Amino acid sequence: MTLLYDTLFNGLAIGSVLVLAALGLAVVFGLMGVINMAHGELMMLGAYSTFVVQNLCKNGPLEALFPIYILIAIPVAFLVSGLAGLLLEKTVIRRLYGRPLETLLATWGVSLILQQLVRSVSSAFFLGLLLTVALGLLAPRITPATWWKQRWTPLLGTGSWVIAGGVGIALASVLGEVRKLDQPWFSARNLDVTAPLWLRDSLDLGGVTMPTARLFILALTALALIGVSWFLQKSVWGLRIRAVTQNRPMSDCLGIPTEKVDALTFLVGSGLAGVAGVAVTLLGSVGPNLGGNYIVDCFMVVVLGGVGKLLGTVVAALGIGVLSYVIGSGSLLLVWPAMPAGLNEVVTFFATTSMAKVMVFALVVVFLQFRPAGLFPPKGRLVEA
Amino acid sequence: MSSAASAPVLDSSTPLLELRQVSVSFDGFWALNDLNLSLAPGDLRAVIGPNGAGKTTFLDVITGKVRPTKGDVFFRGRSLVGLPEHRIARLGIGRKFQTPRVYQNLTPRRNLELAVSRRASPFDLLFGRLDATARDRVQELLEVVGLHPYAHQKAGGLSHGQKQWLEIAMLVAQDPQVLLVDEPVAGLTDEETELTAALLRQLAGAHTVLVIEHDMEFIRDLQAPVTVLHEGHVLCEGSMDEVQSDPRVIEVYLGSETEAA
Amino acid sequence: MASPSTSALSSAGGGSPTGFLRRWLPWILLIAAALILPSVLPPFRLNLLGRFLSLGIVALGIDLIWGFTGMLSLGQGIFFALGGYALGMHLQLTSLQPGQLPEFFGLYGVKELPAFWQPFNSAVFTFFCLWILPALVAGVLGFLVFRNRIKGVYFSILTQAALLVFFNFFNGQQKLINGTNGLKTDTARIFGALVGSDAMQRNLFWVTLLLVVLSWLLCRWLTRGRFGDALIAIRDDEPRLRFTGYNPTAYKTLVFAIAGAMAGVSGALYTVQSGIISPQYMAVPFSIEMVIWVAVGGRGTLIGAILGAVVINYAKSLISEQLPETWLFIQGGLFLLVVTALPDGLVGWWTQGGPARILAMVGIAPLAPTYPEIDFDPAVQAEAETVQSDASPGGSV
Repeated sequence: MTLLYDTLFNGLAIGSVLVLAALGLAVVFGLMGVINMAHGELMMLGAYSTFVVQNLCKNGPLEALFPIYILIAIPVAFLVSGLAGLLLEKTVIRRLYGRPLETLLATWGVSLILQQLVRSVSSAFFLGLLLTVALGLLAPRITPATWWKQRWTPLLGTGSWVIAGGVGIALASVLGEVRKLDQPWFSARNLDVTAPLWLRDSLDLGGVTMPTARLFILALTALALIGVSWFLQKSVWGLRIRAVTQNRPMSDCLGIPTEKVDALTFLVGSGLAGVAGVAVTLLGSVGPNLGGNYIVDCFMVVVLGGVGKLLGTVVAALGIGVLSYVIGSGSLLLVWPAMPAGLNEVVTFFATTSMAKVMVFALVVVFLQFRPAGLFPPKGRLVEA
Repeated sequence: MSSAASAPVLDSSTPLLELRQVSVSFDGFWALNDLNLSLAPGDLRAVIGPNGAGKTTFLDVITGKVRPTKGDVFFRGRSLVGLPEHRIARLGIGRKFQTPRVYQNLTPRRNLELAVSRRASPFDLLFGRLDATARDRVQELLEVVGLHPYAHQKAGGLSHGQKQWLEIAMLVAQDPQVLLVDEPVAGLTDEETELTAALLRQLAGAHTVLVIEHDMEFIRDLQAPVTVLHEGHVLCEGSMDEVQSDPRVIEVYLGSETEAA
Repeated sequence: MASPSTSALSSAGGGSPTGFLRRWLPWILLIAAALILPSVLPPFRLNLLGRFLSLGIVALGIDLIWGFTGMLSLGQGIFFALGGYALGMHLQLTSLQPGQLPEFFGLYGVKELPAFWQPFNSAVFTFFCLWILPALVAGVLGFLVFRNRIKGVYFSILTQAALLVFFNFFNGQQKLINGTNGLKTDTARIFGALVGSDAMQRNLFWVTLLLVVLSWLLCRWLTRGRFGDALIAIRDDEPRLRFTGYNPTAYKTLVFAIAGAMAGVSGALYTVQSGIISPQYMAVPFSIEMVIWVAVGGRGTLIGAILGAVVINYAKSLISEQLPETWLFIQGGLFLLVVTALPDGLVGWWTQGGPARILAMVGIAPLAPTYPEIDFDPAVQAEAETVQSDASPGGSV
């Protein structure tokens, strides 16, 4: 019985992180049909935001806030990732609606840039980047207006950005000579986020020891789920989002600002990635590759759950979590010690975290043979337009 | 001659295509409700009905895209339910879609060559060649629909009407026994509409043709028996004049027919 | 207007001297390069070129399934690495004395050669295995996915998941295939010569070049005829093709298997030229990188796939030597650039008159109305309308 609780709890704990991580992805993919490969990196941004908040609260005037810094980090991470997502939507994804494969590749490119960004970013780098963006945006204002009505204007647009980039790089390398400015903010190494004391504790519930960090993540996941479903089902903007999802041209005609709706949906989905980033700081260290560890799992959750239903995401994530734990811990052997030798070998073979993943993914693919559209498929004649 | 040798001998009294009590439910909404319809060899039939009457679902059921919730579809005495789309197409049922669907990045000639091919396995396409009869047929069809000047440019660049005709030509190239034609004249000019009607009338006789259309003038032009669908079942059948004077039809069309007439 | 069949004949014949040159010059250049490069380039650079050329083969496969058929696979690394492992295992075994085991087995206390290693003693088996095995895996995987009409991004995600499955498996199995350390091949012997030696590497360069050309010819044959038309039809409108009586599943499975086989060959060639095969070849980023080679070169153009693989990898190795931390920025930028500004890649941009447009912008060359633009000209369109109505349907069917 304890074993059952133990399995269930640990499975839930793994699953709840997955729910949180996949939730934003499911919102964006389900509602907008956009595959965001940079979702993992938005999580990473959330995790780094947590790290920054923690550092601010560790010493100095904000020291009193340290026990609850993680609660401060949640809205901060939501905002940082959300705004990054918004920027991504406005600059890249906007141009690619209706071309999911291209979106996938473009967002992968963004994820590479974000990864290297957190490795490389230093004060000098940041100032150089700032100058580039400022020059690039200002170029049309500080050059003669007639230049922008010529045959070669398209070249000028590209060219001004290239020059702005060159100036930015030059500034960064000059400033880079100053040791203090050249210091990378985070460096390529993994960083550890120290959880406040109360999150390093554990509770004893009916014979099962539960780390409070895990309980915290469970509660955070539940809150995020309630928040998202309330937002989508009850709020005015949620109604607009659902309307645009079902029929974009019609919504446009009815005066729903579809561009704003897209931006908002993306902001919320990306912000949720940031919240997930806060949660994962409690489970391990923070590094540039953090996103890559989650992204494929998240996509499996979305594919398994079916598009457009949050319930599907939850069930799929928890299912994958429990299965991974059961297979990975080899706890079947404990329940059934007398299993035949051949089966025993198989169970032991898969009883590591990475081999459990092999098994779980294989099971997902098998499952999709019977239910190609996932657990909760969309129905009706809209399915294949 | 695409008719299979083993098929039972058919005279004009036995139906070629028959739908028996077909019902289709989408999440509790009955798109088709106890629909019965039969077509004899050589028939030309028009199907009309207000929006949402189930016209397109009706074609989806015949061609295997949608599986009926209840009921059965028979073609030459054989049930089609459960067969994949390409098998049904190979049996001799061709379909033209509501919005013209041609392969945008292939030339009209290559579009037609895919449709005219009697063999459809990857190895046939890799190692087999299109025989001279088939190539002549493609050339002839290109000329019939007036696309021969455009035979070597991508079909994506054709006008809407040209795409409609290309798709009809593809359907003819397939040489099916039954042609299911969904809104062939949507977006065509009056002149083009008349020519399409003439084309379809020519096809009937040697083929069985079923046309779905909203354009009443076009239906009248076809001079074919009309079946009216409403809420997923057959409301009435008869000639265009009979149907138009039927009070039930007038009712479901909310009086728009009386104004038009 | 000339009838299509005669114009096709005359263009293929190439009777004039310029036609002859146009047709044969690329081949002459290619043979010249094959003969000259090994004596001009230092061994290190030649080896790099050989490696990147072998990557051109996997890129050709991706072009086949993505550029032509519209299926974006993010899991070509599976097949690439399977080919590499097949050859790597064979090379591990050939350099042993009778009764010996590959060295790493000792580290994990394995006393007996695992059964699945046995057939790799045979060179013939290995030769067939390194492309048939990936083709089979791709075929089975593809069939399971295509049968259920899983396509688009779902297909991409599933291939990526499959890649991760294979990566975890190979990475975790020390006792079977040396896990994360991989198998070294440069100290192995092939036909009595050291694989890592300069002479052997030069031979491998020629073999690679030959296989790239053969792969290109294969792809050209596949895409030129009606089979290629069917692939494009699948990309344009798969359901439509189904209603025309074709079974797209068969086509997609076959073409995915062919791409898998090509990835296997590519992986085997890459392995012997880089000296090691490891699970890193199945890492998620590497397989997406392969896609970007094709995208930059020009999807749907075969030569673009090869060019993209060679050029990008060469640039990568140069930049990584000088400024390692900038490469990811550049690569990320390439992904963005190619989907937003260069959808047809460099080759597509070139053939669609890109350079002329640039020249015209700076006023060097006049912007002549070219064929596609002419077609959108209102006056020409009106003309086309009349042509069309003259040729309206009237003939018998």
